[in-house]
Amino acid sequence: MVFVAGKGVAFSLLLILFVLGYYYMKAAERGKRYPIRRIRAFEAIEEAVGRAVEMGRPIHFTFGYGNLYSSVAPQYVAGIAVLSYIARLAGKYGARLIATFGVPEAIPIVEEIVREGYRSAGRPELFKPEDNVRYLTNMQFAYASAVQATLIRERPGANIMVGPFYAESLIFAETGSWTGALQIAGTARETQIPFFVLACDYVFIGEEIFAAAALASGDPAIIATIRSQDIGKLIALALIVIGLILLPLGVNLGKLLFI
Amino acid sequence: MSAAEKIYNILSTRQLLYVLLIIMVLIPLLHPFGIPISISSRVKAVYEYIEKLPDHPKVLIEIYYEPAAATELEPGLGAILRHLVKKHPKLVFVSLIATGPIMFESLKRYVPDVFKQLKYGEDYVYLGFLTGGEAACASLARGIKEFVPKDNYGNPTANMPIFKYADKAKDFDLVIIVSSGTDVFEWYVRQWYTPYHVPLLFVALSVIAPSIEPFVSAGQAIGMVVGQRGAAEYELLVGKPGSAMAAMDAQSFAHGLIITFIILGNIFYWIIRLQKKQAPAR
Amino acid sequence: MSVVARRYGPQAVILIMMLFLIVTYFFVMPKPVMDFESSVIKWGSVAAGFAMIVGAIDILRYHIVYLVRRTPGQWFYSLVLVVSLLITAAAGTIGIVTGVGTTYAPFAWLYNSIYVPAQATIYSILVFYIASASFRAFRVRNAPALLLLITGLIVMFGNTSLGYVIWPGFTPLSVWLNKNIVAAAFRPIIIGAGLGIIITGLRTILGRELYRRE
Repeated sequence: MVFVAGKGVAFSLLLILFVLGYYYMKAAERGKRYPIRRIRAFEAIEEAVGRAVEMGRPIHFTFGYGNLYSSVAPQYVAGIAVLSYIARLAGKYGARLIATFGVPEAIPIVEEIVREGYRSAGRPELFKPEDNVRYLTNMQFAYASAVQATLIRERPGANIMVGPFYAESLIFAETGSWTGALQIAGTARETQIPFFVLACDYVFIGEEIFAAAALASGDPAIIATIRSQDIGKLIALALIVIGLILLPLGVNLGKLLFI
Repeated sequence: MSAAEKIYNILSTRQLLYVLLIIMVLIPLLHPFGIPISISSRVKAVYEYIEKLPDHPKVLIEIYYEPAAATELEPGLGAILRHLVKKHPKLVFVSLIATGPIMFESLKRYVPDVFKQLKYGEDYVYLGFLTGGEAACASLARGIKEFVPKDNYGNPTANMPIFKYADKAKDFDLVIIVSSGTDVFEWYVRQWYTPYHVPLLFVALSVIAPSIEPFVSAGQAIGMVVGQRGAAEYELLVGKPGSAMAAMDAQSFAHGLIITFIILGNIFYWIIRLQKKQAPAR
Repeated sequence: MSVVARRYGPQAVILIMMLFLIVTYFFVMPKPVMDFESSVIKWGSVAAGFAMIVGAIDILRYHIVYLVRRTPGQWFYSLVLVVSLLITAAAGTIGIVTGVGTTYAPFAWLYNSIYVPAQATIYSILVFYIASASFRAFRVRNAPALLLLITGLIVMFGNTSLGYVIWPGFTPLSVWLNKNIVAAAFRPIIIGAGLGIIITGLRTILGRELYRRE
């Protein structure tokens, strides 16, 4: 098999990361533990749920406008994992959870996740699909205004947003701040991170949403895969340094390897 | 409550800021002041690149935005088209977003002078909305005629004269990507620049600029025209002021108001802070 | 369907599809394989189209409950939504049946006269939110915040003609900041996010992302 021009090295890197990820996952299954640093935004989720319950207000969760079938899909998957964690907490504390979203394909997954969250906490009677799971629309700004309306009408005590966010990010974050919700947000869409930093109490920056998803699972094997992400970063760093050294010698490493 | 605290609270009232903002945008739109604008090196470089293109350049143009973003993106694309049309180009328009066909019709209404000079099927064609995202982008690069048997209006592409010159990625002199998101820029970098080295030009919203800047800095795109400001500069360069130039005053006034609020907010914040520090000593 | 098929069937489909798309992305493949790849991508779009129907039913389910219960503060909005949804769907369907598609006059009118201005309005609300959020966020509480404020002011002035009148250096300085400082800050975030996406992909291939809990 022949590589498409410029994609050979990229494939090798992908393979290295997959092999490493698999290795760490298996090592964790054999009992080895890989500690990761504290992520404050993740720790704040339980506090936010508790605060909402104390205030007698619901918890609102949304994913952003991204979808489940493009390059932002992994961010959506990370959002689903975090929602799963929040649903379990909502069941544990008896909180009312409102999950809003704009991807119709996600309806069965979100419904299942929230139902399972309440059920696993022994409170299946709290799950009301028409209230807890709200598919709004797949049109971006109609979705944005519907979430805005939900925030204003329901006045949640906690507003948690994790997933692929676009221009709607600040609309949600600013409305949430207006209604006095404790806000936790995260996205790997770099253009929207500054807006979350502006208006939210805690923020997952970029890749932290994937770490949060791993932590939310509570599964040591999944958490262990973060180690391969870190090795990937070290490889990137090494390539940058080597590239910088080679540049004065007239060698463009980027063009040599990737183009 | 001290006077400083009262003023600070008034400044912090969202409604006051919002009302003033509406006024500051409306006044210059109704009565433009014509504040002069400078040409940035970034836009000038794009202009010079297009100026140096050979006659009859073959250009693929990706229309990837929704109606909400049209006011910021259409003027930039319109100005570039006015520049390009002087070179008697072959233009292939395409959309990897469902709102593309509506936006293309809107573009035709925005720059009718450009399309009057071009003959459909010979000088330009619109392929319409193609599903498949990045995979469709890759298929286009391998050969348009084969991948898209019919254009947006149902005409067969097989015998269209334009595809004699502009069919595969290597035939093109430039790809212009006009987008309200970031993903599609990356698709073209991966599918058109990396394997075929086709020069890319980005036309983007201001808010997107930081995330596509790395591609431009790395030489994966020849440049970018960003937001209302970039569009206004390009309009100035082609000598045909349009809606971007008209909106620049409003943008200046709105920015001026926000900056004033930020500075005043800080002044009163520090007065209050100093007052509180001194209070126990009294 | 057996428990094994129910449990491992979807996972097997995910695994095969992801590996197939990875291979066609990185390797030169014969034309029939690439044609099949295009078909696979189109299947995704078709599936998404069916999901829209599920979505529409879900929206109706939610809002009809409010309508039937006459929920105070909500039922009227639900009525507007249900009526709008049915009218738009009817106009779109007539457009398809008559063969004119989205250019069918009533549908085009609904789109251009209601949907487009409504969407543009919501988008433009951002300017107000950016203003109020900036007012709160650009508070100089410490030295880094002062640096953030100065940088923010340079970029804001650099984006306007007013900035040029005050000092012509704002625009080149703003371009320099974007090209060097901002791009440098964004690159590691992009790299980190890319790595996160790869590992999430691995977890999905291995079926270890969502339904792990036994």
